[in-house]
Amino acid sequence: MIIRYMILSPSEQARQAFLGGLFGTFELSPRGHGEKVTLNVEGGDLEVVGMGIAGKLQNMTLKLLERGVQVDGILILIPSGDDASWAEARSITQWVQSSGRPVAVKTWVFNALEDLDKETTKKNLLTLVKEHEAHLLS
Amino acid sequence: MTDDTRIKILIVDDEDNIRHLLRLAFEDGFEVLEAADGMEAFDKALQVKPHIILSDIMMPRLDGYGLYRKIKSRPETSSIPFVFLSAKKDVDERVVGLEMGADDYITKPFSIKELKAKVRSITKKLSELKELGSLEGLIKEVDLVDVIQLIEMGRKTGMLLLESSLGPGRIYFDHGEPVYAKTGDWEGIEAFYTMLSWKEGRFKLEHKILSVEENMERSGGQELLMEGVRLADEMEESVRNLPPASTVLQPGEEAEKAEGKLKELVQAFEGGVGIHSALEKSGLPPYIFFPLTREALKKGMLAGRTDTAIKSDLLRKIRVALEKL
Repeated sequence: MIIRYMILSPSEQARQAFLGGLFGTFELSPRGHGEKVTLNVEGGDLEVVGMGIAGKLQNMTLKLLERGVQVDGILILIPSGDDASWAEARSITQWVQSSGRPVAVKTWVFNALEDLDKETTKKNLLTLVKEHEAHLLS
Repeated sequence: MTDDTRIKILIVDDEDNIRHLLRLAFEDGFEVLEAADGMEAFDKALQVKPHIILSDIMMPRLDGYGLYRKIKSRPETSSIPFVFLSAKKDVDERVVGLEMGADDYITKPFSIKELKAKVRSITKKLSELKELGSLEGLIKEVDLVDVIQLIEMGRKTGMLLLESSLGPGRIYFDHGEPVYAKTGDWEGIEAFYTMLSWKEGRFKLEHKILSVEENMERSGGQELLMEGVRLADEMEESVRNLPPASTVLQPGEEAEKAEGKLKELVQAFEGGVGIHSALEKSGLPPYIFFPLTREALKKGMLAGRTDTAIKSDLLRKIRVALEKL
């Protein structure tokens, strides 16, 4: 079984800092515009996929979910001051909630790439895991 | 051929001349024993365990039907083929005899040639077994129950070696009676019943007198076989009614009420385990494991594991792994 989380951010640097900082390594998508890390545990895998293009965050997410791609959680990384992306993040959160999909969504607005240190990224990802667990039990 | 290896035929008739005639007819190829009524025949059958009984119906003290019932009611004699011989040509009598389960019903006066042919036909398997140095074959072609019956009827002594995908097994017979059984971690009666449910593999009887440490009670092979067949049927029915083997089961809401073997079974599913993995984990023989699993599911002591439960468990493990990063 796979649990798949998406790190959605218009900033490729932010995504790679997040994944690289936390897991130490990541794969680049062959077609560009994406990263992936797989964490193996007994009984299944956690797949963390980084993706996102400014102005297309909402569109990309909706397409994925509506096409039935398994996404169990979304962590949206927005650089502070990127109001357009922040608005998209809000729309994604509202859409997921109103659709009743069991997908956990969290938004993190960071000031600088230095904020994406290992302990903070771990804490944010664990928050997403806990929200996902709460969704399952609700 | 010594007396020990000849097929023993017990002739039961209150008329001396009939017994004499039959003795002459059969003593060439058989060891012939005689009894003048049902009571005497029954005592002799218990004592000598003949391979076949030819019995008149109308006799003093105990008639043929009474003898038949007594013979079939005792585990040690119930597998002996039984043929009624009677002067009664009445169709109803014949039907009664056959309906009771007799192997044949022959009316007097009879042709000795015809009677010998019938007896030879009934004892054919026995004769084959006696002529063979060893009995071997495939379980899918000859059911193990039939193999064991043949060994029992032939009063064979030796080791029945079994080889199936579930592992090797051995049953030692002492004069047709199973006294030792072992397969995997199971011994004695548990091993015997486990092997009876095997549907594939090979068997081979090695005629050897061995010194084995008996681990089965000597209670008559026929009784054991009947119980073994019942358990094998019950197991097959349970397997048919269980979810697919890949299904993960876990203790259900009523798990705490489980006691004894049910408790052992439920513990084997702790944490969510596939049915076949739980079979190995439980250490219970399959003929006990599968019916118990069905019972535990019915009583809510076991429950199918849902996707949500599996995901929750996986998430817990992921959380632990992330915390260690």
